Amino acid sequence: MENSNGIFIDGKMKSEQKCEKLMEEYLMLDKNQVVPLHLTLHLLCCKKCRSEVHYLSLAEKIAAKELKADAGLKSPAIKEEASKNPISMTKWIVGGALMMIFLMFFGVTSKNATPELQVLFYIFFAAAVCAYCAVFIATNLDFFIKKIDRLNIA
Amino acid sequence: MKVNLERIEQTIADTRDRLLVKAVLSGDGRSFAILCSLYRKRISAMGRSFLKNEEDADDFVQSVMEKTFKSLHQFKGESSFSTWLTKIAYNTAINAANRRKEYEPIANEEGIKSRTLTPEENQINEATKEAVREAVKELPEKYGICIELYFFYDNSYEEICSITGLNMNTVKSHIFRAKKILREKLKEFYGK
Repeated sequence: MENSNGIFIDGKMKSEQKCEKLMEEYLMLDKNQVVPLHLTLHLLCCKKCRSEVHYLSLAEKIAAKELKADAGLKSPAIKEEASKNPISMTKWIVGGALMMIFLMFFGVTSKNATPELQVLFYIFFAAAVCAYCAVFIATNLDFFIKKIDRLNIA
Repeated sequence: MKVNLERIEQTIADTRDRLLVKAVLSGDGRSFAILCSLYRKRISAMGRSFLKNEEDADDFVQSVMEKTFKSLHQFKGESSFSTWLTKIAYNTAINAANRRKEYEPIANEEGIKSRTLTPEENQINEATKEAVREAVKELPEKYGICIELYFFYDNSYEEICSITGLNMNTVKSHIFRAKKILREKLKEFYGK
């Protein structure tokens, strides 16, 4: 009986020491730092530590709430800046025109080229046109969505 | 997941600030007004901690904003705008001629209260303030402010080092001590 009690108390003490050690590790973590896996696993199993961590993180969150700047994402200046396209329309037109000139130039100069080379060129060119169109649509998605919406309404 | 959301929130705020800075540099005065309104509260809080009265704190906000506007072209985006601005405010406050002899912790302020807190959150907030007060009490000013920068200004260890010029281990150890005190203060909530 004494032995089993002794073992029980010893086990409890070890468990408390482990909790204490892991909680100290948690307290050392920085803001928004990822909680290490072994600590996460312990938190999943230990209700007491989980509760402590919950209240500690809640306390930090509440304390920082008052001086935190609002997102302010609805301001016109931000909307305007965010909607600016990184690639201008002029660049798109120049790029497209260059591709067309290159195609025509190849068509004129490659009359004596072998059929294999011609097939290879046209496959390459088709891939380039597809990529050009895909990137153009992706970067101007906002414009296309608005156009489609307008057509649907009409 | 929660941590990730906070990171996303931080990234959105950083992007917003960079866009606003870019707009200011290309001559848009409205964007600077938005930046000022976003960060006025935290600059004013720092002013109240370092300066003697509310009027001085208002002048302090004005002066920090002027300095920020003049040196905005130097902002390279290596740190977040908020950290960069807090650094300007901290240096201005440290060197202010009309500053208090002793730093007044923000935790002592009655004005710093969020209006949207539940009663339990309010209790937790009070416990945090008490813990910070206790942790700051016996520390020299520059170590005290690093605890407040962590808890109330939401700065990370690295940002605090960049703002105050203190080394990482010193910052970590003081904040660790404050967190331990907070852990004790929050014990009454664990049992619920």
